[in-house]
Amino acid sequence: MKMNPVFLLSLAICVPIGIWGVVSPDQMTSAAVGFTQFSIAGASWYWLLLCTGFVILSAYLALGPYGKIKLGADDEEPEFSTGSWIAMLFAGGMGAGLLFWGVAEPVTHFSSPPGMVGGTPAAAREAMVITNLHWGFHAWSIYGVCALVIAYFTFRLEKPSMISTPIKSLFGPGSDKAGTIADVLGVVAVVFGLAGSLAMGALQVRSGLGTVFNAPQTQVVSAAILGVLFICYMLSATTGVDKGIRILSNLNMVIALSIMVFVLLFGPTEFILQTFLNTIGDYTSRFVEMSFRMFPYEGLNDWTVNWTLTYLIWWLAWGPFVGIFIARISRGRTIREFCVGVILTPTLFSMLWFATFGGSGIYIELFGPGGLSELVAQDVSIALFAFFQDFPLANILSSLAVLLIFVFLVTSADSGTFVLSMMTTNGNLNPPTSYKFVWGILIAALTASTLFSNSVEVARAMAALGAIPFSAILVLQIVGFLRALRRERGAGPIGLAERSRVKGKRPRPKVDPATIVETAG
Amino acid sequence: MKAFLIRWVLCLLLAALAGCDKESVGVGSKNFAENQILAEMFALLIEDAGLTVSRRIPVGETAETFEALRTHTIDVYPEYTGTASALLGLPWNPDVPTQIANEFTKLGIHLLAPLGFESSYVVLVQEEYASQHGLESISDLSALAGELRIAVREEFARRPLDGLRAFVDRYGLEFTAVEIVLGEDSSELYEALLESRADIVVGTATDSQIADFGMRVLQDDAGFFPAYTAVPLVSAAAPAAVTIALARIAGKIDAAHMARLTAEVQISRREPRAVAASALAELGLLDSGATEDDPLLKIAVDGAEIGSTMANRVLQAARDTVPGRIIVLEPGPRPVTTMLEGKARAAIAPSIAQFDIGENAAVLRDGVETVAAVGSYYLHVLARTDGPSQLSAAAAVATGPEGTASEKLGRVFAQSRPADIITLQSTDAEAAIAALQSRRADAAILIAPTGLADIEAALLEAPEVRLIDANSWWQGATRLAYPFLQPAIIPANTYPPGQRTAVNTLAMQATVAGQGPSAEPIGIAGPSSYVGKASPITDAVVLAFNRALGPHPDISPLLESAAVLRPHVEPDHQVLNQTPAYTVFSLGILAFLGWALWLLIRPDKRPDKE
Repeated sequence: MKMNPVFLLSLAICVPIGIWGVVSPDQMTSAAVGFTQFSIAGASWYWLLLCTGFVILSAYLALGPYGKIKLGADDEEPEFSTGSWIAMLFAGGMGAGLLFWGVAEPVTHFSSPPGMVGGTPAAAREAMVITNLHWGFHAWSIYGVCALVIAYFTFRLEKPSMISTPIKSLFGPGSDKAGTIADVLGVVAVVFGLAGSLAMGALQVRSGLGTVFNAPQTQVVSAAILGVLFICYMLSATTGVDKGIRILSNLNMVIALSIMVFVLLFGPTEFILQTFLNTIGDYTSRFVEMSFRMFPYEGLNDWTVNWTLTYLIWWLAWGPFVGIFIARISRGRTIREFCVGVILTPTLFSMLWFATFGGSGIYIELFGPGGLSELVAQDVSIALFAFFQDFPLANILSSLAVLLIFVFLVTSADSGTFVLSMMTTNGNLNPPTSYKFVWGILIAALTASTLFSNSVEVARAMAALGAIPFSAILVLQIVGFLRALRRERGAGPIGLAERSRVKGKRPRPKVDPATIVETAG
Repeated sequence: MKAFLIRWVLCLLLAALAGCDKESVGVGSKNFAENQILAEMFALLIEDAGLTVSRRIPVGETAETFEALRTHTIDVYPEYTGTASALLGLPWNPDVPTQIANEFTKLGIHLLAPLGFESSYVVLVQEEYASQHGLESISDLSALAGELRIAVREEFARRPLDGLRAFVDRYGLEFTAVEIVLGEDSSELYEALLESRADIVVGTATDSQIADFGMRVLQDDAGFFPAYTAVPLVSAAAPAAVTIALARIAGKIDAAHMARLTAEVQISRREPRAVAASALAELGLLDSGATEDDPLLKIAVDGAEIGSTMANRVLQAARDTVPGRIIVLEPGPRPVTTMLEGKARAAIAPSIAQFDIGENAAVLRDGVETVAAVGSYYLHVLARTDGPSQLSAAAAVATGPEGTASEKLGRVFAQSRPADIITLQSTDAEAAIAALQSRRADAAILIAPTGLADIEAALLEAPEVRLIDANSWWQGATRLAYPFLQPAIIPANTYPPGQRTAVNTLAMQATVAGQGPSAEPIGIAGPSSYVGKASPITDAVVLAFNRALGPHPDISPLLESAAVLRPHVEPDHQVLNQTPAYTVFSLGILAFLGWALWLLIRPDKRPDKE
């Protein structure tokens, strides 16, 4: 079998790092942290500008002259009804991250907002705005643009759904090498993004087990969790049980929403709804300021680097992965519809999510028993479980949350190995099992070495590692995309009929997106 | 056209003939300013007569210059009769001009008509020194034998007949130190006197410094120095036109004029030729050559202090600071006010002159900054011997006119007394003493450096007047309100005639003040408020002046120092870019973004293949 160059090159980069991580995890993770720290702190202006640029670009695409262009032939109808499309977007965007940070982040910012006194009502407002800055328009614009580029080239121009497609279109024929580099960087971004997220999730599962079953917080437990996780996602990825996983994942969505509703009802409902509404106003009115806000005068660049920029780069790391999923389910939508659906709706949902979990957390601090911020300051992963202690049926909630996180991790890792295998087999929708094996093991090795550090910071740094070089590819992808859009305006409409005439009658591929990727985020 | 050509060729021919006919006239001089100026005048006049001149200005010392004339290296140079007779080894007598003229004719040298002034040697002392030791004539010096130091120019030391050796022998003097000043410039000679390295100097009557610094000329009571009348010495081989040309200047230059011209070279550092040219133009002997007058730089000072060691020291330092400018002292009773009115660039004044005296408080005047501290002013209180023995016992006090330092101090004194004090305003030391004598005042306040000649003279003339203690009133609140006053003692015998004991009094810093940054900028805020804020005296000048002054105390913290003199700690300059690696990284990103932008906007090279 002729080996794919993207596969070989990606392995050439990831395997040595994986081995290094297993042999000397401290050294590898500190090198990774050093690299990300340098790259982010050394050009913090660039990262914020880049990510805010995504927001501006998506607003332009939605409201500008290209809004009516369809991701597909001009007379093509959307593949999925709007209702199921939005449900699937949630599935894609909802992940372990929201569970992990839902309470932890607002409470952390509430107790120590940058350049402000913590624990005050003003700090609470600031905390909600900052959290939504990290999880709102910026995050979804990055996903949205990544997805839009792929969707446009795949469905409108009928090219392979690869990272390299827009790059090749930009540089023209003979740019295979550039394309290979782009694909490799995309793979690296997904590998490290996945490893970082899995490590973070595993830490939270361990905390949850500690809360509910008094499990010790040791490396052994972490390793055990990772072991079970590894077996589960490898089984799912390499055998035919992915149907069961799919059902589980849908169930997961239901459980997550149920927990949210439970907290909404049994928590301070009025306070949560007020927080939600208030946050909409605060966030939108301060959006421009926050989108460009750095702290040169306060000397708080470290804060920007460790929070805002780490998040934004994290979204960049997940961009190629989530982008492929979102692209898959968005066939037949116009660019305007796409932007509104992919950016506005999930942002509103995450605002509600954070109003529910974060708002309740702040309520506990301001008007309730308190003590949450101290716990969060000690261990971020424990926040959710400590939070549940103030609710009825605390242990059941915690158990459900642990299960939820675990399943999210399995489905993420499963989809991750699938996407990686697809990306390294030139877009093959049925990649060979051997590829899934290789990527599954590699991700487990990197996750293990990250877990060894026992630190959420290291996990975040790992998640950002691959995204740093990949951001350059993303910029070039966008340039290729915009040029293609401009070229299309000069040409005539692209209808199904014309396409059929030129290329001969061809049945539209019937793909269930859930077989491609389940969840992400 | 043809006619023009012919005329042109004729002119050329004539010019060539003229060149062949006459060699150029060599004009030389000795190596000091006065002689050089005269030589330049000769050269200019000869040129004006249509002759070509080759200048050897200067040739060297007297002997060398004379030798140059004798060997026809030069044709003319300015000489002095006294020197000339000494050159020939002739004893001095009043008939010398005719006699040496005859002697010179034998050597083939013509002695032309005198220029109009004498440049004799004079023995000089500082005015204060003279009054302290009661010096009038050179023979008075013999009383000081064993403690005298002398400074002379090298040439004087080497002269066989009318030089230092002969001078010492003639007057029977002894010197503990003899400083021989090398070089052409007489200002170094006077520096030796001003800086107290020498007590007496032998200078030249036309030296500008004599009037400038108020030196006292000791009478040559033994008639040792011959008359040094300036005359042109011309080689008999020189064209007759030279003699005719030089006749025009005969008798035209007097001693004062010569001193002024010398000063322009020595003090203002102008070129001798330029000075000569403008002088000739002034005399109406040359059409051109007038140069625009340099504006005078004036330093305001109390008129009584002109000639005092302190004023001279400031003047000298100022001249060293801005060579090429003519600097003079501007007398006036209120030097700081004179300076603020723009009539002088700086003022020598006691620190009290920089304050406005209000009710029990002194407020610094606006727009004044202190450039240097140059010594002390002392409160001198004069009273009749039958009058009060302490200023505090006085009921009517005579002071200077309103706004003077002594009037201000008088007001401070009046404020400090519970009883009413009458203050009278008089004009100067003499008037103050007159007020004492007429019993209109019990005490007279003068503020001056110690040893001032005017005070000494006043004390001498009025033996019933003495210096009294003046420190006891300065106590308590007064002392706190006027901290620039310090207790001090005027030592016994500072004023020989009447002062046998030391006098307790007050002193204050003597300052050189200049205009500070203008207090009223054009606007209150914004860019216009920065316009014209520069101090009229630049930082560089302030620093150079302080260097020129030599060692001197710092300015009192109570005064407004010139900005450049204020203590200034150089900030520890850090490297502003702590992370050059970040800079490189950011530049790389910018380059990449630029490239991406170009990729976006570049025109399509190939036809649409989509």
